[in-house]
Amino acid sequence: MAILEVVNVQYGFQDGENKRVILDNISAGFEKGKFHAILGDSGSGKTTFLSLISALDKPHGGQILFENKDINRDIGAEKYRRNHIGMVFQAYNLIPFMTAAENVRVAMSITENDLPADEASVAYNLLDHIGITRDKADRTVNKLSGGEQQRVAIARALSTNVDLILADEPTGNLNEEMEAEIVNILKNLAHEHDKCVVVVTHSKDIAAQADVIFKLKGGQFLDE
Amino acid sequence: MNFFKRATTSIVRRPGKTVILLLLVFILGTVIAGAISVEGAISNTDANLRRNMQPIVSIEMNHQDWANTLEGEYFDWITTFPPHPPALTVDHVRAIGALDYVGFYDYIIEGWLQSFDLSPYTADGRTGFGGMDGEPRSFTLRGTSTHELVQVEQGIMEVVQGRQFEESELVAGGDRSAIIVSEAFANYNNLALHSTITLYHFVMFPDEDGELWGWGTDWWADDNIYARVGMEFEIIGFYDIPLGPDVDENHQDYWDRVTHVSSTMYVPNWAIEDVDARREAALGSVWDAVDVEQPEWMTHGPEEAPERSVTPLFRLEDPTYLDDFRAAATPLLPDHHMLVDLSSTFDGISSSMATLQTISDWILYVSIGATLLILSLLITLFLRDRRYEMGVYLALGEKKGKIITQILMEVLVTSVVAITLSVFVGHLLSSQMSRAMLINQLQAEQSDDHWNRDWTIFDQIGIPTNQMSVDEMIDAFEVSLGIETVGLFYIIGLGAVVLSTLVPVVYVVTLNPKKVLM
Ligand SMILES: Nc1ncnc2c1ncn2[C@@H]1O[C@H](COP(=O)(O)OP(=O)(O)OP(=O)(O)O)[C@@H](O)[C@H]1O
Ligand SMILES: [Mg+2]
Repeated sequence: MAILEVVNVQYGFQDGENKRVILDNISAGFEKGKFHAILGDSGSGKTTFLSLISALDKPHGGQILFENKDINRDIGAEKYRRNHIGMVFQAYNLIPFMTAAENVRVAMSITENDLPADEASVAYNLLDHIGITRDKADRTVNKLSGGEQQRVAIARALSTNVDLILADEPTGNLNEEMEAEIVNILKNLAHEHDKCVVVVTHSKDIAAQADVIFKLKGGQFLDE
Repeated sequence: MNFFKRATTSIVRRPGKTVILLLLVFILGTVIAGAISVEGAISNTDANLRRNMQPIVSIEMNHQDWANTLEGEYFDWITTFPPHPPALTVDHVRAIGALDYVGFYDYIIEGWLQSFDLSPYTADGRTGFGGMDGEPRSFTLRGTSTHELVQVEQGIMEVVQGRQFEESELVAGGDRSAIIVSEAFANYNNLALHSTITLYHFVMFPDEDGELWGWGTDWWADDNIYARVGMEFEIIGFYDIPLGPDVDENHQDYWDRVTHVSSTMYVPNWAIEDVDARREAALGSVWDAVDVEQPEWMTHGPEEAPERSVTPLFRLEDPTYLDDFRAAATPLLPDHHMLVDLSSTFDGISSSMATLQTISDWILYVSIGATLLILSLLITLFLRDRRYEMGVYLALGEKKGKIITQILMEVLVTSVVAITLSVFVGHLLSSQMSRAMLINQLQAEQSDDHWNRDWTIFDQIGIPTNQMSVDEMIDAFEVSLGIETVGLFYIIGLGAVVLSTLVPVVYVVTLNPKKVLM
């Protein structure tokens, strides 16, 4: 059963006089317990696709359903982002003047999901679990390495107790060793913790580890 | 890590930005606080002055207004004459005196009578009321209709011997009236309490040109007097005008007193009306007793004789009633008349304060404008710097309202600190500066000093209107940090800060997290 369904989604950019189609009537389903990769060349529309399923943008046609509810019309984009997804970006996008733990706690204070009362210890445990020790958790994030920052970002995405983790080139700024570790964490989330993980990447190596691969080309998902 | 915690974290962890905002708000706040402090001082001082002002009001003819109504009409004063202006009568005075604001009122009829036997008091022979030998001396009679003279009631005058009028003496009747004279005049003329004096209108035979006025011993010769219209007065009291310990010959008050006590006497109004009416009659009949033709200009004139105008005095229960009293009394006035009060005593400081007020008004408006402009720019720039952070909040699904509240709180917390500092600094600076400016202004205006001041209706009836000295005015100028001033400043200061976050808020609302983060 797909937790997230993309149905006939269209998206394009106005390019001068003519509309340039980026996503051409595409459909896909994403399931819990699976690690999905969206593979495509640069400029193929991977980020565009991710921005649609994370409700940071709205499709020009078609529907995106989370647990059978339209994320924009039924749930509401803001609420969907707040309560149903966790996001990981290529550029980490942490708040620079806050510590690792504080960054995690920001997300925890925004969500309306039921969380354990002790926000701080949940954040520390989560970070510890993902490889950020206590002393690093109390550092402002600009004093952490890229790999460490991306771990913090993953911890933030997980902290709100959501089922859907969306990541855009999460290892794009990392070396191979780090890349392997981050991919392992994400794979683990799917397989051990029953999350639905969607990772956008142009790396065939990462895609090779995925349970499901969507190849994006010419605005369409090619069958794999 | 709710939005409040985020706000405080941001303030503490980004000290550079916080200090820049703090300094800016502090500097602008100091200017605004200074201007508001001056405005507060002006209204304090105004209230101070009004509180200390004697709550006495009179009514004057508005000559300018009257002249305007006659504008364009031509009178040759031979065949055509201007109409009499409407008179202020005792009935008007009674109607206004019945208003609740009035604690006490009186009306004063003035008269001038003469005597060959009595002399005005002259201080060390220095005041020239002497006149020539063989000429009568003139005295000012001030009427009253109440048993307590307003001058006594106001503490300007004291009855040092004897008493004031009794009700029975205030009622018209008989050919004898009570009178209160100055102690100095009585001593000068060897008069004791209960002595009687007689004062006159002398109606003269006209000369060959029909002239009724003249001077010199010949003119005043016994057989040139057609009628001696007199009234006998019994002295029932002596008054004096006390002076402060440091009032000497160099002081205006000293000479005001000399002028007052030398020849001013107090009598019931009816005595003046009575003697004046008999004089009118004598002036009417003198032409029948002589061969001289009455000059044409004397016989012609407006048809009906004017009603006698009186000078009223109202003492209000409280100085603060003034505005309400004015509103209530104005409809009761005869046309072309106006209420006058003693606020002219601080005309000097009022106009200086008005200048100061204009300057501080401008400083206030300009600094509020500058605050709005500079702060909105600065906060927008700061937020542009933080667009990733704002994008993260949005991407995490934070409500825009909470993000805006966070920004508002960051700015407000910093601003409250800055504004609190600037209240004191601004107040300190402005009290020094505004005092210096006021002194300058006042000194510049002293050129038109109190010897040249306008002669008012109050001077005419013996209520002194000496303008305050520069020192007294500066003393009254009170730059105090009242709760109202401080409150006003916080409201204006924080209001400006809140308004300044409007533009940045638009920036946040329109921020697209996709563009910023992906
Ligand atoms: N704001 C925009 N206006 C016009 N065209 C845009 C805009 N943003 C993206 N595009 C275009 O849309 C296409 C898809 O962009 P997208 O960012 O989704 O690609 P991508 O697959 O994520 O590429 P990359 O691997 O380089 O990140 C690209 O051709 C890009 O040039
Ligand atoms: Mg991309």
